[in-house]
Amino acid sequence: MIGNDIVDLNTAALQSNWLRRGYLEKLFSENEQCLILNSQFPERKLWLLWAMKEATYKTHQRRFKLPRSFNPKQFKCEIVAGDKTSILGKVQIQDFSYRTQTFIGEDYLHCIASQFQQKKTVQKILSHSTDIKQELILAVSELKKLPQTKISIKKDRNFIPYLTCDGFTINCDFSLSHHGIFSAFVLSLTQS
Amino acid sequence: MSDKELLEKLKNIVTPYVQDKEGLENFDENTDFLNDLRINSANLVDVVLDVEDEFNIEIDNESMNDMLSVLDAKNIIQFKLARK
Repeated sequence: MIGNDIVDLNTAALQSNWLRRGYLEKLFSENEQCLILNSQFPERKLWLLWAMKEATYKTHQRRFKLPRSFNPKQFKCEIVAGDKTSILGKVQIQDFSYRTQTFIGEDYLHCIASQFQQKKTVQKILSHSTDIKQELILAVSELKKLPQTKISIKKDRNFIPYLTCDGFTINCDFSLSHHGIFSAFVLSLTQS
Repeated sequence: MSDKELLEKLKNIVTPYVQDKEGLENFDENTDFLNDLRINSANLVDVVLDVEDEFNIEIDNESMNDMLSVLDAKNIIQFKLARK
C-alpha cells in the first residue's frame, strides 16, 4: 500500500499559525515537538513531520479499510536519513511501521509513505493545474493498457478513492493529494 | 444552550478555514468538515482549539479523532458541557 501528501509551504504559512497555544501539543509527541523546536527551520520541520503523518495515515487507512479519523498524534515519526533533496523516515502507528520518503521542493514538500520499500512508482507534482486526476487516469491507462476514456475515479464508503474501468474496479495502488497551488499523485508500478 | 445557538457558534468557528464557501450555505448537522467544507486537515486542529476556547472545554485526543462533521462536533461539545 502507498499514500502521499503534498504541503504547499506558502499556503501552510498563511493558513496555519503553528505558534498558537496548544497547536503543537495536539498534533505532535514530545519527541516530535523537540525535533521541531530545535530545528534550524522549525516551520519546515513541522510540515515535514505533518506530511509524514498524513501520507502514512492514508497508507494505513487503505491497508485496513478504516473509517476516517483525525488522530495525528498516534502516528509517531522518526527521521532516518536525508540530504537536501529528500528525507527518509519511519512512521509507527500501533504495531505497524511504514517507510516514508519526502521530496523537498522550493515551495513544497511531497511525502510518499509505503508499507514496503517501493521499487517502482510514478509520481507527479503539478502546480496551478486543473486536473491531476486526468494525469493519474492517463498514467493508469498506460500502465494497465486500458482505454483512458473508460477509466474513472470513485470513492468508497470510507472516502478512499479507487479506480474503475467500465464499471469494474481496477486493482491499482495509488494516492492523490492537493494543497494550495500544488496537486500530486503517486502510483505503484509493482502491483499486478 | 440551544442546538441552534450551538450550530451558529460552530459555523462562526469553522468559517475562516472553509475552502468551499458554497458548503456554508447549507450548513447543518449533516455538514462534513472535509467533504462539504473542504477544510484542510491541518486546519482541523484549529477548529478543535477554537471550539475549546469558545466553549471553555477541553477536547481530548480521543474526542478529536472523531470530530469530522458538524454532528460529531455538536455531540462532543454537548457531552463536554454536560460534564463541566
